[in-house]
Amino acid sequence: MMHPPPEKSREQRLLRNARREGLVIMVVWAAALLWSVGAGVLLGYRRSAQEMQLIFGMPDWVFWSVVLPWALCFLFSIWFCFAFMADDDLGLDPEERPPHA
Amino acid sequence: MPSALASLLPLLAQSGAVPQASPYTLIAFFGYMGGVFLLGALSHQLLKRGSFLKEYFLGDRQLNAWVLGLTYVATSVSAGSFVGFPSLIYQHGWIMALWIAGYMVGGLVSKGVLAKRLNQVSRLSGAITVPDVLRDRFQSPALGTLASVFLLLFLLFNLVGQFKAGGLIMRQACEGVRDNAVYQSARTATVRTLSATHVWNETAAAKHPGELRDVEYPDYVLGMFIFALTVVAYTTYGGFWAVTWSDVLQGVMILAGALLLMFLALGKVGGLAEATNKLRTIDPKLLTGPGPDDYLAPGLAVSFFCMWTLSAMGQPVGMVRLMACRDTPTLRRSLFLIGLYYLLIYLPLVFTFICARAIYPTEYLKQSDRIMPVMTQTVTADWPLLGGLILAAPYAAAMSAVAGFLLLMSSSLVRDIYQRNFNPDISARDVKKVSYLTTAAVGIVVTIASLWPPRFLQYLVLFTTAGMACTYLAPTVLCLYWRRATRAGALAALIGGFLTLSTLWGLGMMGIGKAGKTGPAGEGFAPICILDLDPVIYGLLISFALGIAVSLFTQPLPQKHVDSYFLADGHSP
Repeated sequence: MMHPPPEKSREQRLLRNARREGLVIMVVWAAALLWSVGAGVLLGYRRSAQEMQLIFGMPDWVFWSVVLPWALCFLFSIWFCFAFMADDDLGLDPEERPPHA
Repeated sequence: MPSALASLLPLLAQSGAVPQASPYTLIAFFGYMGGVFLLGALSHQLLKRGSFLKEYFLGDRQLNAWVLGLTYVATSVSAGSFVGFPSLIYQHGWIMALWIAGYMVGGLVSKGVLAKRLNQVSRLSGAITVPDVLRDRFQSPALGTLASVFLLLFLLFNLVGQFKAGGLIMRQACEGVRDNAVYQSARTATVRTLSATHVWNETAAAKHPGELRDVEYPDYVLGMFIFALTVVAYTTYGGFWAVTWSDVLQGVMILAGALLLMFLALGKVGGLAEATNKLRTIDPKLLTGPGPDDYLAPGLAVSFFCMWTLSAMGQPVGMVRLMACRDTPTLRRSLFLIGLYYLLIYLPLVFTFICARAIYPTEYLKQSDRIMPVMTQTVTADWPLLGGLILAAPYAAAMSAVAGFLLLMSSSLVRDIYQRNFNPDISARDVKKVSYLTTAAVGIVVTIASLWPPRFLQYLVLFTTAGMACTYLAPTVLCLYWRRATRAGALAALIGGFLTLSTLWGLGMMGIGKAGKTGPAGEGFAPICILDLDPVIYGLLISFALGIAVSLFTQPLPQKHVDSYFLADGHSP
């Protein structure tokens, strides 16, 4: 029969949460970098300005490679901050702890 | 924009960077200074509670979401964002939207990855500075001291740059009152002092018109003294709270200024589509990449994306604010606020100065740095006080950046060098005296150093910003998240990142690898950009690689010590 690992070897909850949240952020960072610069270079570089369409008054490539991913990143941050990121106890400074803590 | 002030410096060095001050500009400016002094005085009251060091340098870790969010963005949105960035949009058009795109995840990356864990680890050991955290986690006084020495060097160069910018801004702001008797007597006293101390000679200065030390040098010195006196006084007296509350004031001013300018500019030009179509007729390259003069090569677009995110994550001045946060709900809310703030600042600035190019197709191309104040005056012609308030924003931004750096430098000296190495048992009363004296002394030393600012200081500011990221990011990430990291690994990461960056900058300054380069990578004192990528990317990669490799080949730290940072029931160090 498998027993849960003893309490002593358990990694801090805050550390697990922080690592998981950091990894998610870095994945989103990489996706945003690829999308933004990739789409910007593919759609916006070495193109004739005369045939360029405008979306909400800006060149189409600006909308697809900057404004749209920016809006999506903002929506992601709402989800991340208010639904995904865990609340953890940050702990106390040494002088605030009880003597034998 | 961590290094954005760098782009402001060369612009301000030209005459007319900020238009001659109107009475309204000065009213708004001095109103802001009055507000800052008031906040400094109020902040001083808070120093009477709890641990003085923690209160003075870290605000007793009590920052709430609004204050944390606004102080973080106010430090990153510097004067450069409000003067240098608009100038670049005016010159290069829509490609600047891609240049700034990293800010879409800027807040999340620079704050979200480190904040929670850094705050917790700093509490575990009672650390109040970044070198403090490294020293305790790796049980290495040598590492802590070296990290402090690097930090002091970076900050000294950076602060001289900020003071120079502050002096130049004040010189321009005071231009409208130069005939005033009070100004004239202050100027005469400055000339006498400079001549008596052999710092400057009027006869010799007349032979070098257009340089900083020309006949207008006393005006620069006077402006720099006013700037220094204000910022050193309120920082010394009020400590961390004075800096953060003035950041809040500044953050609100900048946000309101950016949004107001956008709506007024769009109204003036008849909408964004109208402005873009006008740009199409002025120069089609203003609508496409890489922009006029091949400004933004794809590699540089990647570099800037990394710069606004990864480099920002490695700035100790930002890390200290993360350590000052009260709790995790505060972190979550402030993270959201920062994202919202960047969205409301940077895209409106792009829209506004696209409109500016449509209104002034060629008029300010040779003095593009003037476009922000010119545009403000154009769209607020009927509301001059409003225009004055918007124009005070870059002044406020420069002050806020200086205050943050000043306090960081002082904390490094008091805590990391003096208390940790020479006087661990210093009494609470003495630590208070030493902190006040050190902050004031640092301000005085930097003020004196700013009398002889190096000619190409803007590149030093850029170098120090990238340098801090390459020096501190990898050791900090490894310290927080990897239990196998060793003190030798952290040292290798710290030194390796610094040396890589220094080497690439040094080679670039010698002119190596510049052939055929355009845009920022082709400038004379810029670093060498291999494959068009900024040295900060190589510095970070090598720093992380060395940190991991050296750790794997060196003796791990005692398990009990590491457990205290990583396990649920580990004892505090």
